[in-house]
Amino acid sequence: MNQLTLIPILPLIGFLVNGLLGSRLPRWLVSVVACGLPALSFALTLSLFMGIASNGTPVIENLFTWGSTTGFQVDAALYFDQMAAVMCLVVTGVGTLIHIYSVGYMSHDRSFSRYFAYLNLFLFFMLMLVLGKNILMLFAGWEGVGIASYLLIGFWFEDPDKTAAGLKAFVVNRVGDTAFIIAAFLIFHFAGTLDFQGINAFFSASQPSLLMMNVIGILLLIGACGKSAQIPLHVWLPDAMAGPTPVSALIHAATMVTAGVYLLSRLSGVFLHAPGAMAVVAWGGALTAFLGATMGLTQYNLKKVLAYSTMSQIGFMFMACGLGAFQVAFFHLYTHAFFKACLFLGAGAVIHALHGEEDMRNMGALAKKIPFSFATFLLASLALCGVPPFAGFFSKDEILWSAWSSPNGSPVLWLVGTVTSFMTAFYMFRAIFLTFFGPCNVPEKVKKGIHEGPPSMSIVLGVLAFFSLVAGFVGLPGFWRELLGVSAPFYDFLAPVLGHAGEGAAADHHAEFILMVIAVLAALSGIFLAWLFYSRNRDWAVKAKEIAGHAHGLASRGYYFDPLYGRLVAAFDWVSESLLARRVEPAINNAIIEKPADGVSRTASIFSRLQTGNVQGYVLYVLVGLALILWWGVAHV
Amino acid sequence: MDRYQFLIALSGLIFSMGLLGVVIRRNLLVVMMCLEIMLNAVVLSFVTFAVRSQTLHGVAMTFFIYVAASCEIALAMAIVVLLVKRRGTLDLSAHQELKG
Amino acid sequence: MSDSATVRVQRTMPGFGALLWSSVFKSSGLHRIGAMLLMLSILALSAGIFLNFDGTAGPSLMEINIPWIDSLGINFHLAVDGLNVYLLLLTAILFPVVLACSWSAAPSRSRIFLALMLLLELGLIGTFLSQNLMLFFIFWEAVLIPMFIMILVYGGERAREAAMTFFLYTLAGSVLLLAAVILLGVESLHQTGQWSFEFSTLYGLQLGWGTQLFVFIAVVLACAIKCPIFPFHSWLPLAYCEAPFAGTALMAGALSKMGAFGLLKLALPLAPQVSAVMAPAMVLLAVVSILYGAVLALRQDDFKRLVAYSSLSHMGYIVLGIFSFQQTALHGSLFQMLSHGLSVAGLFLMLGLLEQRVGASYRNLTALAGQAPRLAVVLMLFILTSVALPLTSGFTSEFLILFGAFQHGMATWQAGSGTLPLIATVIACSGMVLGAGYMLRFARVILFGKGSGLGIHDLKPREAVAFLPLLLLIVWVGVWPAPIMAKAQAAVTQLTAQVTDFKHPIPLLASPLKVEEKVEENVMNNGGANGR
Repeated sequence: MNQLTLIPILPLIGFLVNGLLGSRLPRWLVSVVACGLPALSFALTLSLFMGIASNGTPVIENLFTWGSTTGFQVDAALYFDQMAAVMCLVVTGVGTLIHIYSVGYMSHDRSFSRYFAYLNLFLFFMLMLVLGKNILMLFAGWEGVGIASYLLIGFWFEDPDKTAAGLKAFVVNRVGDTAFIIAAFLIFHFAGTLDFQGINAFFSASQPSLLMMNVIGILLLIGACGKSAQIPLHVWLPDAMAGPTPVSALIHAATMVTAGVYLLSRLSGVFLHAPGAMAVVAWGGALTAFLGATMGLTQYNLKKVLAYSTMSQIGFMFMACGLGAFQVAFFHLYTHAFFKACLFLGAGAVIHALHGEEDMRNMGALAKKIPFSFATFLLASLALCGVPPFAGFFSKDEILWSAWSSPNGSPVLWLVGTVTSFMTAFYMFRAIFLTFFGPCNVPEKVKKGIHEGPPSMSIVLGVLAFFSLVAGFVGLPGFWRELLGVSAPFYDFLAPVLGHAGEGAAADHHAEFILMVIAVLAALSGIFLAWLFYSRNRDWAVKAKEIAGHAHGLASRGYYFDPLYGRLVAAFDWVSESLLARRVEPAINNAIIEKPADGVSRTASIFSRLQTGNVQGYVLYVLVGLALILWWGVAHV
Repeated sequence: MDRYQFLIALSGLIFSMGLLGVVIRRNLLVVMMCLEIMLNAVVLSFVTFAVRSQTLHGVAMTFFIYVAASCEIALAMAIVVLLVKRRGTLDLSAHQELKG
Repeated sequence: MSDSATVRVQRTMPGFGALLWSSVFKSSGLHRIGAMLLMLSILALSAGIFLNFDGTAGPSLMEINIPWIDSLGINFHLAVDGLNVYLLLLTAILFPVVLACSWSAAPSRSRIFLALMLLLELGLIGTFLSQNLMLFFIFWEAVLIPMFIMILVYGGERAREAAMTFFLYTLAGSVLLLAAVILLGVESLHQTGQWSFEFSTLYGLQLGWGTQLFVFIAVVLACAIKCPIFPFHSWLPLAYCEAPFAGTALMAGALSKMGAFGLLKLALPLAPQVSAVMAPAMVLLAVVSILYGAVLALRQDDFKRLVAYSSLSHMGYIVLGIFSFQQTALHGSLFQMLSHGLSVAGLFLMLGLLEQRVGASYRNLTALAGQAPRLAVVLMLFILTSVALPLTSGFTSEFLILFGAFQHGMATWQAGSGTLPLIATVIACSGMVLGAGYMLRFARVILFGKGSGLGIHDLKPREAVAFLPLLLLIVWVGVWPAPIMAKAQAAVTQLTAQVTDFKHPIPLLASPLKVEEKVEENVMNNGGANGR
């Protein structure tokens, strides 16, 4: 078994060990197994990454033939190219950190080993998703992370709300998955293979009609929307915050939800020939980014703010994909993983310190009590807002620049992006001011117990904050590259698989600089406004809310997507219970069982009337019967 | 009409008369008698065909029929006696319990 | 290898007889263990056959063929082929598992119950293995008797109603089948000059349009009731709920597969032209079954009814795959038979175990995950198989079915023969969503929540061991189906060839009528000759 195979297998072993024996093992051993194996995977990924960085050839590992029949063959094969390498590094790297963090965070939980078993299971499926060489492998991982997410969201299964959230996440994901699998069928119909390299090669050589390409693209997009919480399939993500906070960090911020972006990039060969679908991806991404941010503005639950922010940032990534700038989307994915994980874990530290309190209205003035968590949270927030020189600045700026300059882009997209980044800055700092500054609304009882998390948590926060600071330097935008005379190793590394699309228009550095300044100003003004509203003059916030009126209500209720889907589910339930179970089933039973049975008994009652008990009558019947038979015989001789 | 045809027609006639008696008569004993008449008609046809085909099969059949008929009448009379004992009448309409 | 395998099959059947004898008449207290040992030995034989069977050698390799009623061409002919090898394994696995799970239940102590189970196993294996149509029919009907008695004697409150409905309904379905069987025998007499019910002979007959139509309708009716498919499912919820749980597990796990198997073994090869023409209608019925069962399962409070309706939905996938005439879809259908057999039997056994522990109040159970973690894990695995999660057999089969059906639909569409199969398949895909919905709702109700303090005992080691083979097979099929697919490949290729040979030039009106007239003339002539 070679290195590549071991990368996903190690977490699987961790899952089996912790899942089967975990309850009998001591906690330290559970933690060592749970954190050690992903760390080992990370080390292996790193060594493979070194290899691919130096020689540029992808690693392929054919494990076995999954299934084959005439005209159909799918191999269970792993494929480690530049894109997979980046994803794999993020998944195993951030994943390992979050495992370590969880050791501290979950230390009081009864189901310690079960938690780690699920987490390792998630990593296994995620790595399968990332490393799969064909759609089937990716889909297996895709559904697998879905179930891991389901189990982890409903981890505290005694609370019916939490299990309902898990259920919702899985079912909404399944909607996307169904579209995805239909897209896969269509792709196979044309390309005759499910292998990514084969598919991309086929579609770049010859395409079916434009309509078909767009249909495939849209179906794939729906699949990606489900997993990546894009409108209109985003409704599960806010609810998914019911899971333990490290889970939100790992699954619902850093890795799983970005799988949609990975899928779009993996099948970039398809999308590049489906201009209609690309436009939908771009505009849909922009819409999600915008609406996500507006919903983030109105939330009071700290984790939900972050959830909407995640949604919004993935909207940015989708926008980049739709503009053909897949490598930029990837860059944002990579930076986002660090700062969003850091934000969630920081929020986790806050929640941990407050013994499970998530409502920001019951927080405040925590900056002095947990300074380290605050510092990391602040760093990551700045990165998210796109303040230079933090990681998010470079990636988000590149996306905005693509929106402006790429052939499919338009100033409107850019404007939406910029307004969104302004709102992002506003709601993040709103959260910071509500949580860490201002009056302290924490109940007295809890107040005394506020403390920094154990070292395992703090170290992880520190590492992630550090990366939020520096991760962006590997992918400087064209303007800075020229200014500083350096290259962008991130883009160069991904160039063999994703190309330099969207970079061509970067010649106009003047415009790029102006736009960059505007974006930074937007972010800073967002921060300033947040300070004005939530730190200096809190009445303004209330007044602004009153002025916004309906708009505020609309956004805070998630634009009524939930009630809408609730209606849909209720409609299904109505069909099930009131229509089918009460009307149709009895009707069918009646038509198929009772009616024939009645018919038989009615006919029987007619004949039973002949049976009078009179012997002579019987003789007469015999006579008649005999006569009929004789007559028939005579007639047919 | 040769004599065979005449005899077969006669046997048919007797059979029909017997049948009619079985169906319409009320008195149990008369019904029994009619049954016997029907049997005799059958025997007559057997014998007629035996003579016509110059074989013994039909004649042999006659003996079987009479043996069976005598056994049958012995049993039947016993049943009739029992029935009459139960209802005190020979009228068939009093005995209408032959329902499945 | 071939010799030893032959011997294996030969030993299987007499073994049953012996056991039936001993368990009915010997008044020893060891009958339960005896039955178990017998089932295990059958399992060992079947597993050996399954592993040795390589699919390429054709059906002649592992068979017994004893003339029975020679003059009518009825032989006691059993053989393993690519179509039945999964089902043989499934049946052989289910019986010991079911017995192990109901080991301490009251019925298992009675000799009659054990005898019925063995009779059932005999009937099932006989149906799956028989290569002679008349023998097939005899076994097909024979299965009804033990099942009927099992429901009637050991069933719940409405057992009598359930048993009568089940029995009469399925019997009514197969009456027409008998007519079709005889008709085929007569056809063989006319075309080859002698009576024969051997499948190999019957497949070679040139059947006219009318004959095919009759055979098709008869077979589909019998199978649709057995499966069941919408709208012939009325007996299903009642029978599944009222039967003793061992019986339900066997009925859902193995008996319902007879219907699907009948479609594969009879409808497609015997009436290929009609199958091709009727395929859209069957696909439509299948899709309606999928959705109907799934939607009904959404709101069932009674767990058994829920699983029963889910079973209806899953059987729809099998029929969809069969009538797509596509190799992947057929593979998928075969897998689905296996997979659904394993998962639904597992689910019913789980419910049965719960019923054993708490009685009728199992309907109100909740929060098992907290009280009986091992049980909850096993139940969850079966649920996930039912949801068709990747790496379980449910995914392999549903993926292959939908994949094949979709390719078939696209091909039909592009050939200009209508979009119905395509649209139907796309709609069937939405069954994935509904499936996740009702199964996970079920999981949520029964597994999660606050403990109700009923004090459920966790899975005993015996029970856990019993579920192990089911789970192992589920994972095997899910992770690495290729070696199993290879076993069925030859049969699947043959089957698709039989159907698609006729498929494209669909002789709707012109030629078949002529053929039919000729056949009828033949019938008249031969009939006259026989009469004289």
